[in-house]
Amino acid sequence: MSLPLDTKILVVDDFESMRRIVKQVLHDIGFKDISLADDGATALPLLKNGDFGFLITDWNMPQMEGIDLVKAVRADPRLKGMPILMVTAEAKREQIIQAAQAGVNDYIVKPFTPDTLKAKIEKIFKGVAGK
Amino acid sequence: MSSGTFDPEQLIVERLQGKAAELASCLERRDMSGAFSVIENINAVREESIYYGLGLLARGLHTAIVTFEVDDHGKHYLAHDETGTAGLTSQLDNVVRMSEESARKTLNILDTTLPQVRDLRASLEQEAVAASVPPAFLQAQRAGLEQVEHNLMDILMAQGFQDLSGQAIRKVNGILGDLQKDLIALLTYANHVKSMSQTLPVQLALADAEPAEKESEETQEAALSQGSVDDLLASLGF
Repeated sequence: MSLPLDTKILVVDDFESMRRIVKQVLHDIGFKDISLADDGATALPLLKNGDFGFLITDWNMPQMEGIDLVKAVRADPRLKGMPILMVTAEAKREQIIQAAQAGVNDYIVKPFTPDTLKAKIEKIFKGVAGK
Repeated sequence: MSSGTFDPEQLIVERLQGKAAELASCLERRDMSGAFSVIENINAVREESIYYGLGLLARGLHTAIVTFEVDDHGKHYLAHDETGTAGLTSQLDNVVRMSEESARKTLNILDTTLPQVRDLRASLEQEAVAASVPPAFLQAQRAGLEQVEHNLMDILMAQGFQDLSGQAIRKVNGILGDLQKDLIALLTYANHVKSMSQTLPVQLALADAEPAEKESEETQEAALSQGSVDDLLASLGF
Protein backbone atom coordinates (compact mmCIF):
# COMPACT_ATOMS: atom_id res chain seq x y z
CA MET A 1 0.00 0.00 0.00
CA SER A 2 1.25 3.50 -0.78
CA LEU A 3 1.32 5.53 2.39
CA PRO A 4 0.61 9.30 2.48
CA LEU A 5 4.21 10.17 3.37
CA ASP A 6 3.50 13.89 3.45
CA THR A 7 1.26 13.42 6.48
CA LYS A 8 2.19 15.58 9.45
CA ILE A 9 2.61 13.32 12.47
CA LEU A 10 2.72 14.12 16.21
CA VAL A 11 4.54 11.66 18.49
CA VAL A 12 3.75 11.97 22.21
CA ASP A 13 5.75 10.22 24.94
CA ASP A 14 7.25 11.44 28.22
CA PHE A 15 10.50 9.51 27.58
CA GLU A 16 12.80 11.26 25.12
CA SER A 17 14.37 7.98 23.98
CA MET A 18 11.00 6.59 22.89
CA ARG A 19 10.02 9.79 21.06
CA ARG A 20 13.26 9.68 19.09
CA ILE A 21 12.96 5.95 18.37
CA VAL A 22 9.48 6.32 16.92
CA LYS A 23 10.59 9.38 14.92
CA GLN A 24 13.54 7.48 13.45
CA VAL A 25 11.35 4.54 12.51
CA LEU A 26 8.87 6.91 10.85
CA HIS A 27 11.79 8.44 8.92
CA ASP A 28 12.81 4.95 7.87
CA ILE A 29 9.30 4.33 6.54
CA GLY A 30 9.50 7.59 4.60
CA PHE A 31 7.59 10.13 6.65
CA LYS A 32 9.38 13.48 6.90
CA ASP A 33 7.14 15.89 8.83
CA ILE A 34 7.29 14.63 12.42
CA SER A 35 6.80 16.69 15.58
CA LEU A 36 7.37 15.61 19.17
CA ALA A 37 5.63 16.34 22.49
CA ASP A 38 6.51 15.15 25.97
CA ASP A 39 3.00 15.00 27.48
CA GLY A 40 -0.67 14.98 26.58
CA ALA A 41 -0.93 18.45 28.09
CA THR A 42 1.63 19.89 25.65
CA ALA A 43 0.36 17.79 22.75
CA LEU A 44 -3.28 18.92 22.81
CA PRO A 45 -2.61 22.62 22.03
CA LEU A 46 -0.24 21.54 19.23
CA LEU A 47 -2.98 19.37 17.76
CA LYS A 48 -5.61 22.09 18.07
CA ASN A 49 -3.41 24.73 16.43
CA GLY A 50 -1.58 22.60 13.89
CA ASP A 51 -2.60 20.60 10.85
CA PHE A 52 -1.56 17.17 12.00
CA GLY A 53 -2.88 14.16 10.17
CA PHE A 54 -1.80 11.37 12.52
CA LEU A 55 -1.25 10.99 16.27
CA ILE A 56 0.99 8.41 17.96
CA THR A 57 0.76 8.53 21.74
CA ASP A 58 1.97 6.74 24.86
CA TRP A 59 -0.43 6.03 27.76
CA ASN A 60 1.39 6.86 31.01
CA MET A 61 2.38 10.51 31.08
CA PRO A 62 2.69 12.81 34.13
CA GLN A 63 0.25 15.64 33.45
CA MET A 64 -2.22 14.33 30.89
CA GLU A 65 -2.36 10.61 30.19
CA GLY A 66 -2.59 9.32 26.65
CA ILE A 67 -6.09 7.94 27.18
CA ASP A 68 -7.30 11.41 28.18
CA LEU A 69 -5.55 12.93 25.16
CA VAL A 70 -7.37 10.45 22.91
CA LYS A 71 -10.70 11.36 24.49
CA ALA A 72 -9.98 15.07 24.08
CA VAL A 73 -9.10 14.60 20.42
CA ARG A 74 -12.26 12.59 19.75
CA ALA A 75 -14.34 15.24 21.52
CA ASP A 76 -12.97 18.07 19.36
CA PRO A 77 -15.09 18.59 16.20
CA ARG A 78 -12.01 19.60 14.18
CA LEU A 79 -9.81 16.72 15.35
CA LYS A 80 -12.25 13.86 15.91
CA GLY A 81 -11.46 12.12 12.62
CA MET A 82 -7.68 12.01 13.20
CA PRO A 83 -6.14 8.53 13.05
CA ILE A 84 -4.63 7.62 16.43
CA LEU A 85 -2.15 4.88 17.28
CA MET A 86 -1.40 4.13 20.91
CA VAL A 87 2.13 2.80 21.64
CA THR A 88 2.45 1.81 25.28
CA ALA A 89 3.86 -0.63 27.81
CA GLU A 90 0.35 -1.19 29.22
CA ALA A 91 -0.81 -4.60 28.08
CA LYS A 92 -3.76 -5.42 30.34
CA ARG A 93 -6.90 -6.51 28.54
CA GLU A 94 -9.04 -3.90 30.31
CA GLN A 95 -6.73 -1.12 29.19
CA ILE A 96 -6.75 -2.22 25.58
CA ILE A 97 -10.54 -2.29 25.70
CA GLN A 98 -10.56 1.12 27.34
CA ALA A 99 -8.33 2.51 24.59
CA ALA A 100 -10.55 1.04 21.89
CA GLN A 101 -13.63 2.52 23.54
CA ALA A 102 -11.89 5.91 23.76
CA GLY A 103 -11.41 5.77 20.01
CA VAL A 104 -7.86 4.68 19.13
CA ASN A 105 -7.50 3.16 15.68
CA ASP A 106 -4.90 0.64 16.84
CA TYR A 107 -2.66 -0.32 19.75
CA ILE A 108 0.99 -1.44 19.98
CA VAL A 109 2.53 -2.91 23.13
CA LYS A 110 6.16 -2.00 23.88
CA PRO A 111 8.70 -3.31 23.06
CA PHE A 112 7.89 -3.35 19.37
CA THR A 113 9.75 -3.79 16.08
CA PRO A 114 9.91 -1.32 13.19
CA ASP A 115 7.99 -3.84 11.05
CA THR A 116 5.16 -3.92 13.61
CA LEU A 117 4.92 -0.13 13.65
CA LYS A 118 4.94 0.02 9.86
CA ALA A 119 2.28 -2.70 9.58
CA LYS A 120 0.02 -0.93 12.08
CA ILE A 121 0.38 2.40 10.28
CA GLU A 122 -0.42 0.77 6.93
CA LYS A 123 -3.47 -0.89 8.46
CA ILE A 124 -4.69 2.38 9.91
CA PHE A 125 -4.28 4.35 6.70
CA LYS A 126 -5.88 1.54 4.70
CA GLY A 127 -8.85 1.73 7.06
CA VAL A 128 -9.00 5.50 6.73
CA ALA A 129 -8.81 5.34 2.93
CA GLY A 130 -11.59 2.79 2.85
CA LYS A 131 -14.06 5.08 4.62
CA MET B 1 15.65 -3.47 56.36
CA SER B 2 16.13 -6.82 58.13
CA SER B 3 12.85 -8.60 58.77
CA GLY B 4 14.81 -11.45 60.34
CA THR B 5 15.56 -9.38 63.50
CA PHE B 6 11.91 -9.03 64.50
CA ASP B 7 10.24 -12.06 66.09
CA PRO B 8 6.66 -11.10 66.99
CA GLU B 9 6.04 -14.20 69.09
CA GLN B 10 9.21 -13.61 71.09
CA LEU B 11 8.20 -10.00 71.63
CA ILE B 12 4.77 -11.00 72.97
CA VAL B 13 6.31 -13.70 75.20
CA GLU B 14 8.79 -11.23 76.70
CA ARG B 15 6.13 -8.63 77.38
CA LEU B 16 3.71 -11.12 78.89
CA GLN B 17 6.48 -12.50 81.07
CA GLY B 18 7.20 -8.96 82.21
CA LYS B 19 3.52 -8.33 83.00
CA ALA B 20 3.25 -11.68 84.75
CA ALA B 21 6.18 -10.77 86.98
CA GLU B 22 4.58 -7.39 87.67
CA LEU B 23 1.26 -9.06 88.54
CA ALA B 24 2.96 -11.53 90.83
CA SER B 25 4.71 -8.68 92.59
CA CYS B 26 1.44 -6.74 93.05
CA LEU B 27 -0.29 -9.81 94.46
CA GLU B 28 2.58 -10.46 96.83
CA ARG B 29 2.21 -6.95 98.16
CA ARG B 30 -1.61 -7.28 98.22
CA ASP B 31 -1.69 -4.28 95.85
CA MET B 32 -5.07 -5.20 94.28
CA SER B 33 -5.42 -1.86 92.50
CA GLY B 34 -2.03 -2.36 90.92
CA ALA B 35 -2.87 -5.98 90.09
CA PHE B 36 -6.07 -5.04 88.25
CA SER B 37 -4.20 -2.33 86.38
CA VAL B 38 -1.60 -4.91 85.26
CA ILE B 39 -4.39 -7.25 84.14
CA GLU B 40 -5.81 -4.45 81.96
CA ASN B 41 -2.34 -3.86 80.53
CA ILE B 42 -1.93 -7.57 79.76
CA ASN B 43 -5.00 -7.36 77.54
CA ALA B 44 -3.35 -4.54 75.65
CA VAL B 45 -0.11 -6.47 75.01
CA ARG B 46 -1.42 -7.92 71.76
CA GLU B 47 -2.20 -4.51 70.21
CA GLU B 48 0.93 -3.06 71.74
CA SER B 49 3.05 -5.75 70.09
CA ILE B 50 1.42 -5.17 66.71
CA TYR B 51 2.02 -1.45 67.10
CA TYR B 52 5.63 -2.04 68.10
CA GLY B 53 6.15 -4.39 65.16
CA LEU B 54 4.70 -1.82 62.77
CA GLY B 55 6.99 0.78 64.28
CA LEU B 56 10.05 -1.40 63.73
CA LEU B 57 8.90 -2.06 60.17
CA ALA B 58 8.46 1.63 59.46
CA ARG B 59 11.81 2.46 61.02
CA GLY B 60 13.53 -0.35 59.13
CA LEU B 61 12.02 0.69 55.80
CA HIS B 62 12.90 4.32 56.37
CA THR B 63 16.48 3.46 57.38
CA ALA B 64 16.90 1.20 54.35
CA ILE B 65 15.63 3.93 52.02
CA VAL B 66 17.75 6.67 53.57
CA THR B 67 21.01 4.78 54.03
CA PHE B 68 20.96 2.73 50.81
CA GLU B 69 24.48 2.69 49.42
CA VAL B 70 25.93 1.02 46.37
CA ASP B 71 29.26 -0.75 46.51
CA ASP B 72 32.51 0.94 45.46
CA HIS B 73 32.16 -0.25 41.87
CA GLY B 74 28.68 1.20 41.63
CA LYS B 75 29.82 4.48 43.23
CA HIS B 76 32.02 5.03 40.20
CA TYR B 77 28.87 5.34 38.11
CA LEU B 78 26.28 6.59 40.56
CA ALA B 79 26.61 9.87 42.39
CA HIS B 80 24.91 11.25 45.43
CA ASP B 81 22.10 13.68 44.75
CA GLU B 82 22.43 17.41 45.11
CA THR B 83 21.73 17.30 48.82
CA GLY B 84 24.82 15.17 49.29
CA THR B 85 22.86 12.22 50.65
CA ALA B 86 22.65 8.71 49.36
CA GLY B 87 19.34 6.94 49.62
CA LEU B 88 17.39 4.39 47.69
CA THR B 89 15.02 6.70 45.82
CA SER B 90 17.85 9.08 45.02
CA GLN B 91 19.99 6.27 43.61
CA LEU B 92 17.09 4.90 41.59
CA ASP B 93 16.53 8.39 40.17
CA ASN B 94 20.24 8.44 39.30
CA VAL B 95 19.84 5.14 37.46
CA VAL B 96 17.02 6.60 35.38
CA ARG B 97 19.03 9.72 34.64
CA MET B 98 22.18 7.82 33.69
CA SER B 99 20.35 5.40 31.43
CA GLU B 100 18.60 8.39 29.83
CA GLU B 101 21.99 10.02 29.15
CA SER B 102 23.35 6.80 27.73
CA ALA B 103 20.36 6.34 25.44
CA ARG B 104 20.58 9.98 24.37
CA LYS B 105 24.27 9.60 23.39
CA THR B 106 23.49 6.48 21.37
CA LEU B 107 20.51 8.12 19.67
CA ASN B 108 22.60 11.21 18.82
CA ILE B 109 25.11 8.99 17.04
CA LEU B 110 22.34 7.13 15.24
CA ASP B 111 20.70 10.38 14.15
CA THR B 112 23.81 11.20 12.11
CA THR B 113 24.92 7.69 11.13
CA LEU B 114 21.64 6.30 9.77
CA PRO B 115 21.21 9.09 7.20
CA GLN B 116 24.87 8.62 6.19
CA VAL B 117 24.28 4.93 5.53
CA ARG B 118 21.13 5.69 3.54
CA ASP B 119 23.06 8.27 1.50
CA LEU B 120 25.77 5.66 0.84
CA ARG B 121 23.16 3.23 -0.44
CA ALA B 122 21.68 5.90 -2.69
CA SER B 123 25.16 6.84 -3.98
CA LEU B 124 25.93 3.20 -4.67
CA GLU B 125 22.82 2.84 -6.80
CA GLN B 126 23.70 6.01 -8.70
CA GLU B 127 27.23 4.70 -9.33
CA ALA B 128 25.83 1.37 -10.45
CA VAL B 129 23.85 3.19 -13.12
CA ALA B 130 26.60 5.64 -14.15
CA ALA B 131 29.54 3.25 -14.21
CA SER B 132 30.01 -0.37 -15.08
CA VAL B 133 30.14 -1.88 -11.67
CA PRO B 134 30.67 -5.65 -11.59
CA PRO B 135 27.36 -7.20 -10.53
CA ALA B 136 28.92 -9.37 -7.87
CA PHE B 137 30.69 -6.39 -6.31
CA LEU B 138 27.49 -4.33 -6.50
CA GLN B 139 25.47 -7.06 -4.85
CA ALA B 140 28.06 -7.49 -2.09
CA GLN B 141 28.08 -3.74 -1.41
CA ARG B 142 24.29 -3.61 -1.39
CA ALA B 143 24.07 -6.52 1.03
CA GLY B 144 26.75 -5.06 3.28
CA LEU B 145 25.15 -1.63 3.51
CA GLU B 146 21.73 -3.17 4.04
CA GLN B 147 23.13 -5.21 6.92
CA VAL B 148 24.77 -2.14 8.44
CA GLU B 149 21.51 -0.22 8.26
CA HIS B 150 19.62 -3.18 9.72
CA ASN B 151 22.11 -3.42 12.61
CA LEU B 152 21.85 0.29 13.29
CA MET B 153 18.05 -0.01 13.42
CA ASP B 154 18.43 -2.87 15.91
CA ILE B 155 20.64 -0.62 18.07
CA LEU B 156 17.98 2.09 17.79
CA MET B 157 15.15 -0.19 18.91
CA ALA B 158 17.28 -1.54 21.78
CA GLN B 159 17.32 1.95 23.31
CA GLY B 160 13.68 1.34 24.13
CA PHE B 161 15.01 -0.30 27.31
CA GLN B 162 15.38 3.15 28.81
CA ASP B 163 11.68 3.88 28.51
CA LEU B 164 10.54 0.54 29.97
CA SER B 165 13.13 0.42 32.76
CA GLY B 166 12.56 4.08 33.60
CA GLN B 167 8.82 3.50 33.96
CA ALA B 168 9.41 0.46 36.18
CA ILE B 169 11.84 2.36 38.41
CA ARG B 170 9.44 5.28 38.76
CA LYS B 171 6.72 2.86 39.83
CA VAL B 172 9.03 1.25 42.41
CA ASN B 173 9.94 4.66 43.80
CA GLY B 174 6.27 5.53 44.01
CA ILE B 175 5.43 2.28 45.78
CA LEU B 176 8.26 2.78 48.30
CA GLY B 177 7.13 6.31 49.01
CA ASP B 178 3.49 5.29 49.42
CA LEU B 179 4.42 2.32 51.62
CA GLN B 180 6.50 4.48 53.92
CA LYS B 181 3.83 7.17 54.08
CA ASP B 182 1.04 4.67 54.79
CA LEU B 183 3.03 2.87 57.51
CA ILE B 184 3.73 6.12 59.28
CA ALA B 185 0.12 7.24 58.94
CA LEU B 186 -0.97 3.91 60.43
CA LEU B 187 1.52 4.27 63.28
CA THR B 188 0.42 7.81 64.00
CA TYR B 189 -3.24 6.83 64.00
CA ALA B 190 -2.58 3.79 66.20
CA ASN B 191 -0.67 5.92 68.66
CA HIS B 192 -3.46 8.46 68.70
CA VAL B 193 -6.01 5.74 69.47
CA LYS B 194 -3.77 4.38 72.21
CA SER B 195 -3.39 7.83 73.74
CA MET B 196 -7.18 8.22 73.80
CA SER B 197 -7.71 4.80 75.39
CA GLN B 198 -5.06 5.50 78.03
CA THR B 199 -4.41 1.79 78.51
CA LEU B 200 -0.70 1.72 77.62
CA PRO B 201 2.39 2.91 79.42
CA VAL B 202 3.82 6.29 78.47
CA GLN B 203 7.02 4.76 77.01
CA LEU B 204 5.24 4.09 73.71
CA ALA B 205 3.11 7.26 73.64
CA LEU B 206 4.03 10.77 72.66
CA ALA B 207 5.22 13.08 75.41
CA ASP B 208 2.53 15.48 74.30
CA ALA B 209 -0.58 14.21 72.48
CA GLU B 210 -1.27 17.50 70.64
CA PRO B 211 1.86 17.57 68.42
CA ALA B 212 1.02 14.02 67.27
CA GLU B 213 -2.42 15.13 66.09
CA LYS B 214 -0.97 18.08 64.22
CA GLU B 215 1.70 15.89 62.64
CA SER B 216 -0.96 13.40 61.65
CA GLU B 217 -2.79 16.10 59.71
CA GLU B 218 0.45 17.25 58.09
CA THR B 219 1.43 13.76 56.99
CA GLN B 220 -1.99 13.31 55.48
CA GLU B 221 -1.63 16.43 53.35
CA ALA B 222 1.98 16.63 52.19
CA ALA B 223 4.85 14.34 51.27
CA LEU B 224 7.35 14.26 54.15
CA SER B 225 11.04 14.95 53.72
CA GLN B 226 13.39 12.24 54.91
CA GLY B 227 14.32 14.30 57.95
CA SER B 228 10.68 14.83 58.88
CA VAL B 229 10.03 11.09 58.63
CA ASP B 230 12.98 10.49 60.93
CA ASP B 231 11.69 12.99 63.49
CA LEU B 232 8.18 11.61 63.39
CA LEU B 233 9.33 8.02 63.92
CA ALA B 234 11.54 9.14 66.79
CA SER B 235 8.63 10.99 68.40
CA LEU B 236 6.56 7.82 68.22
CA GLY B 237 9.26 5.92 70.07
CA PHE B 238 11.06 4.25 67.16
